[in-house]
Amino acid sequence: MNNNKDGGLHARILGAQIFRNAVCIFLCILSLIPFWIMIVNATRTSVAIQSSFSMIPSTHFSENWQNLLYQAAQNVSLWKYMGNSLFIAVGSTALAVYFSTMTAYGVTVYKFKGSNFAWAFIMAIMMIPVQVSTIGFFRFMYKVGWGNSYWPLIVPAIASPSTVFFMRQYMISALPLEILDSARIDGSNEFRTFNTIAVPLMKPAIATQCIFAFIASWNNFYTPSMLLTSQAKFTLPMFVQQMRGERFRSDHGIIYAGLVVTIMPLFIVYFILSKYIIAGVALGGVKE
Amino acid sequence: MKKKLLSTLLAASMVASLLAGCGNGGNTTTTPSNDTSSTGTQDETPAPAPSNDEEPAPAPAASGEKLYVYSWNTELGERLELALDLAGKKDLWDRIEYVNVGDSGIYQERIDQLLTAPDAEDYPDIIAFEAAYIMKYTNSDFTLPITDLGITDADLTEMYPYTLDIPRDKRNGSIKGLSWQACPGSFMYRTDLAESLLGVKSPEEMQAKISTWDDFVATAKEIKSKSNDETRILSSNGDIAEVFRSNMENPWVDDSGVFRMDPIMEQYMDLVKTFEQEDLTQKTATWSDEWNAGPSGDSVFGYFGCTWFLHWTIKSNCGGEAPGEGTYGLWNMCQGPMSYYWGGTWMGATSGCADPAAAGEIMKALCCNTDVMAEVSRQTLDYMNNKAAMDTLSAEGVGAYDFLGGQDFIAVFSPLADKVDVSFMSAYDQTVMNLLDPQITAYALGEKDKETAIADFKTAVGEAYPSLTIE
Amino acid sequence: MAKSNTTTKHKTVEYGRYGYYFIAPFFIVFAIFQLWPLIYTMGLAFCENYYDTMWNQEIGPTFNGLANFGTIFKGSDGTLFNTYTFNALFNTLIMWLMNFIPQILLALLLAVWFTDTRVKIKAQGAYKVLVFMPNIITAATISVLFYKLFDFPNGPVNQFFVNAGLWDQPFRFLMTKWATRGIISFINFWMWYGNTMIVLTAGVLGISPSLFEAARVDGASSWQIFKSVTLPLLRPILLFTLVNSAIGGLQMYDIPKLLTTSGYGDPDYTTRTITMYIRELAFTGARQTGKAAAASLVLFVVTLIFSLILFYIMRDKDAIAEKKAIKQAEKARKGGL
Repeated sequence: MNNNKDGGLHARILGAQIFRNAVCIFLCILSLIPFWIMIVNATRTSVAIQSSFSMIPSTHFSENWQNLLYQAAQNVSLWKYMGNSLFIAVGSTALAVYFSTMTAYGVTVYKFKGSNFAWAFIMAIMMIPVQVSTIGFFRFMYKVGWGNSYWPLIVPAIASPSTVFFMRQYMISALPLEILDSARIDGSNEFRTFNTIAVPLMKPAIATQCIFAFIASWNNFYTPSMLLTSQAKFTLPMFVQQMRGERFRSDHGIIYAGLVVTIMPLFIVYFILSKYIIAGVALGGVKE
Repeated sequence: MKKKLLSTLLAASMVASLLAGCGNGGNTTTTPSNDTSSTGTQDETPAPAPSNDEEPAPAPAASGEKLYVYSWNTELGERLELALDLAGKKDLWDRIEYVNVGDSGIYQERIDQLLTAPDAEDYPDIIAFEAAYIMKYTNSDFTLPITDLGITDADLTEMYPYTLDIPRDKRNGSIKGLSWQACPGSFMYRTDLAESLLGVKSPEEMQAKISTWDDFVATAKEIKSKSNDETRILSSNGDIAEVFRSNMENPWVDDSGVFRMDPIMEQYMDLVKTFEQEDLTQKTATWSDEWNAGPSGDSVFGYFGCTWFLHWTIKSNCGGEAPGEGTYGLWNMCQGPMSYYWGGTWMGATSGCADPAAAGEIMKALCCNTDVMAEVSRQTLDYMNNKAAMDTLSAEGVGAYDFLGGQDFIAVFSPLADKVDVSFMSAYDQTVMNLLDPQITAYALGEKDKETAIADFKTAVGEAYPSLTIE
Repeated sequence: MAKSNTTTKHKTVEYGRYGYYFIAPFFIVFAIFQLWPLIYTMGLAFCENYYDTMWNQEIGPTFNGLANFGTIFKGSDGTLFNTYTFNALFNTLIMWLMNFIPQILLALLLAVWFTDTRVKIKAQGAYKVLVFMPNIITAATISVLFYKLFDFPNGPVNQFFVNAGLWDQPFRFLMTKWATRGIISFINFWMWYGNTMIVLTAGVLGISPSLFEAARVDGASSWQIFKSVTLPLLRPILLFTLVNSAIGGLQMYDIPKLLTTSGYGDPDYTTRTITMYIRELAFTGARQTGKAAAASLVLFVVTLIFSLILFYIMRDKDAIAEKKAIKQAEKARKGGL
């Protein structure tokens, strides 16, 4: 171990560097393959997609794209579907992240009777399978006249236990209580302290949970399908599923073009926030 | 403090449970009329939505009210639009709010949920059913008899009787739905391959080669060996499922709730095993991409398919749009070893339908009007559920189909449609067939013997339907 | 659940009531939207409630005690646990383990690499961003792509092996028990190891550098350092990851549901997870809501017990692990001399 010559050590480090980078590059390629296949398929004709597999882009993207726009325009327009998805995703993300931060703040910063119970309760909710109780949820939404509406897709996000869980993990390590105390001494009321001091300190965690909540809402197909009726209110994944649903005559080129369009906004949001996300995921998991 | 919180929570959950409880609790039966009590709100009120392109609130006059039509793809909507246009009833089409759920898996869940909410603005007025589960709805109080919609026996004379047997409520014999298509099945095969591999030159000769299942297997072997393993008679082992299902003597479940496995299904299992062990099919999965790609190449000799299958599956996957392109024009049809029937879509009005008379008009336009149906068929090549219309078209020569190298598809399907007998159907079919599949696969691959496979199948059925008596 | 009282060092008594205000929106919304369906569902677990398919009529709900649990625990042949429910639970656990073990190993390896001060990986920012990316596609899309890759007989994977002459004939990946389980586990592994790696990297960075330094100066090998310093100190985070992954893993649904041909856990239900089974109970066949609710309750209890055990281990060993690690670090130092 200790008798390596300097040059030998250097060569070994270089070797390790090359090996480790090679492994990482391999893993990155593995991660990118499905995106690549999706993009490639969006440039191919339906018949070609069905009959063979290819990693080399073809030339039919604009055709598929035009067809996609055309199909969407049969009812409203592609941009309308995208706008609907955006409205729901932004709304539910904002509520989920803001109120989860607030809830986590409540159980972390304050000591009150029942705070342990509240926290245990939130943890327990995470573990409950919801497959059956969703039936009751949908029925209830119809009972109160919220069928075919965006409310049940947005408002329940206020109670997102896993976001609260993450926020609390982060708060324990990243929110010094001393700062809050000094704010109190300065006469700031509790809600102002939360909004002006705690929230800015939570930025990385908020960015992380924003992207998670956004992805979850943007990709959600089942809940909106069970609640929305008017085509003009449909979301982008619902529209893409309609293209798929034409089982006997679905055009795979259009479907892949639709999938690429669906994923683009996520790409953009992800790359903008990626710096924060990596910091945020890391810190959220550090202390428990 | 704690008390305050508790009381808030309690109040909130009580409001919630009060509101939800009305529909869910107790011994509520699902007869929609029992459900109309409850909160008594929003009969007219449209659901609030943050979106600003809410469609206008329904007009108070019943005649102008929107009619919600639910289906799982665009097909029914396109047909209704065309038929109502041809029938001069465009105003009715304008009243229809066509809801394309887009996913046949979610469709039933969505419908089941909506049917329990008769007060909802988007409560369905007309729903589409697939043959696989239609009986679940027609044997219940969720749907209206067509006589309530102003449809009389005179409107039904040209229909194939089986299309009326399927939606007939077993309790009182009333008809609860109508279909515009008839879906007899045939064997669709490649003429060029038939000639080069088997020396077969006509559909009659082809029929002779596959008139029994033994002949079919022999021909399958011949195709495999003569083509040097390049071509198989079928794409998937499962392609014969619908043929056998149609030929069951008795339904899976009889009216007294006893489940029996028809002996013919054992023959089906054995045949799938032969296909698998002797390598007679391409062994794809039905509806997979590779299976769909079959018609564009020379790897598959034929498919078992019905009327819609011809256009939507074979033709649209043949790799061309005119004779000479792909395999366009190189197909023919014959009956095959057994006549059978496969699928189709029905429409039914719901028991809470806002305007039964209008629903009746809509259904009549597409399903009863001979002239309209003939024209719809001219434009779409759908095989219509109207004997007179199809006879007219055949006489006109509309049936001579360039995709089939000039063979008259109407002339092939017409006698087959007359033969269809649907006494094999029950409300359990979709689930039961889904449960049979994995056992047949296990048996065919040699992982289970037949007795175990059948026993496991029966166990699965018992688990899915605990109230049935399994024999 | 663990230590919510870590924050109580300073006096906040007079501010305590604000805690209620801050958590109120969560609990009010939860009560309005989720609580009632949840309570109702739990109640159904003790009721007979299904649909008579023949006439499409709801039967029940009528109280039937523990009858649903009886059919969940006891098979039709009378053997305990020989039921679809426990079969599905077993499949879920197997597929979770098959994805979690390699996931944590690879994530650990990468975390060690990314924090190695001698062999620096300059592009690690880019690597972190990229390996995290599978998280943003829907499970539905991923399943379709993998289904195509492993398609029989002419999917690209089969074509590769057959054309390369490695196999005589194509292999039925998605009709073979362990191959299908393996593919499902691989997809989960591949979607999540990036996330785990980032968490663990942060964990390693949180370990006092002086410990590594000391060990290294004393000539401990990389493996010794990893075994005696990194691993023990990483334990709390590893357990956090474990609990998180277990909660998610026990609810695994999309990928096994969408990957197989039938969607019922091919071949022969060997990849049917517990949540797939619950949905089948509630939405297909006789729509047995009562039994589905009972199975949900069983899954909840299993998850809870699982998590409580893990939390308990973690809480107990937390401080001990740290002491032990320091001791071991000393030992490693001595060993290296």
